Amino acid sequence: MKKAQLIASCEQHRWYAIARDPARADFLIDTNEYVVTTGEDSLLCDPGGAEVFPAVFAALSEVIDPRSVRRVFSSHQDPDVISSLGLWHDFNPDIRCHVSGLWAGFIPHFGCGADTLVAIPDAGVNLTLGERELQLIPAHYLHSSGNFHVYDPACKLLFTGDVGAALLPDADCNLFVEDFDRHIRFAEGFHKRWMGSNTAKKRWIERVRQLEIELMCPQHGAIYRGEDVQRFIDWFDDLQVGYG
Amino acid sequence: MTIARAGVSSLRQSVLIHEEVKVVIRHCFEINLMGLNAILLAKKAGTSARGFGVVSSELRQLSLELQTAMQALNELTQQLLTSATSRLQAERRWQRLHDAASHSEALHALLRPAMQRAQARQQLSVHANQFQECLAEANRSCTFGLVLARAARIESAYSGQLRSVLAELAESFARQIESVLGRLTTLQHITRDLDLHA
Repeated sequence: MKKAQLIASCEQHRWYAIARDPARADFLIDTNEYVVTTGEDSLLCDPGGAEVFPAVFAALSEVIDPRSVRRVFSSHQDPDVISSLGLWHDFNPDIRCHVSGLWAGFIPHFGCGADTLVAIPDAGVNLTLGERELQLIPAHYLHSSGNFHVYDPACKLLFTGDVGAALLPDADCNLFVEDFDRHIRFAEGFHKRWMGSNTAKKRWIERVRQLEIELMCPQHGAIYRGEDVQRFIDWFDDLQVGYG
Repeated sequence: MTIARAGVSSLRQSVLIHEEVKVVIRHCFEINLMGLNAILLAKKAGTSARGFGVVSSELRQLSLELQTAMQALNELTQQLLTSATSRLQAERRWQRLHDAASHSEALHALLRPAMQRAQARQQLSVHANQFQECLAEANRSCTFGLVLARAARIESAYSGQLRSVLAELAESFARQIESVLGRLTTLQHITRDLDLHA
């Protein structure tokens, strides 16, 4: 069963990772969900697929009241990221999903209301959560053509969707990266294949190098912290990705 | 209640139950800490407060029993959540199949087995009586807790120089237990409706 773990906090402003599910079915890719909360208001980042909804919902309920989840953020349109939206919408018909406007006609196939999707402009936008501002920053073509990450300046945390993802063996269930050199081997193939553009990658790297980041949280695999964040950015900078 | 709303209702019930259980567990934790504090104070007060110490230790035991009952309730709630999600998905599938089947008799016949399967998955696997049994157990512990809190109040009167502090503690015990009893009543109301939506 999944478990929510506190990974960063700043007074009442808290980030929980709902990471790694040893009980999931083998044929499903393992995913990490993240929730940022002020207690009264919570934003769920990449809520996951419909198949993992019960596990995510139960884990989340241990640390916050799920009724406080009024908004979800979807980094992109993949089913492992957002196919549970219909179930969240059933639970709370007023829920809003912030996602690239590119996916406005696609994501409703997972089920939601006419007003559920809130389009994020291509250049990104800020979201207010309690007294804090979250920055939705562009990461287009990494790997999806309409793709965003979340930066929280208060906690110095960057949620990166598929960037930084690693397809780890089941036995490797650490929440954080413990041995970067070993870990990155499980990320290399994924990034070469799924990240489509070196130009887009350069642009993202220029953008994130300007941010102060202590935690980099991907949707698959372990979380990078401290010096491993910079190590990852340098490694990604040198990696040739995509085709041609 | 329409079929399409039954799964949502069960899902919301699971949240209400879980939120109440979280509060009860918090109260249990507080009773346990208060019990520990009371035992230490009673020891400090000497032989005259020995009775208060015994009652406090019983109250700590009771808080643990209540926590166990709440954990069992939590497990049932997890089952309810899984079952409600499965039901929601089955409702969605059933609705899509039903829409497709409404085009013609032939399609209806073709899709009937799939619709039956989707309908079968709409049954909840958790029932109200399972919750009620668990709650009855917790209620019994709580009623005994009230008796213990009353006994603590009486014992505090014979507890020498610390009697006013211990009397205050006994009042706090009673308030915490009454508060738990209130939550258990709420839980009984929420879970009583479970089978109505089945």
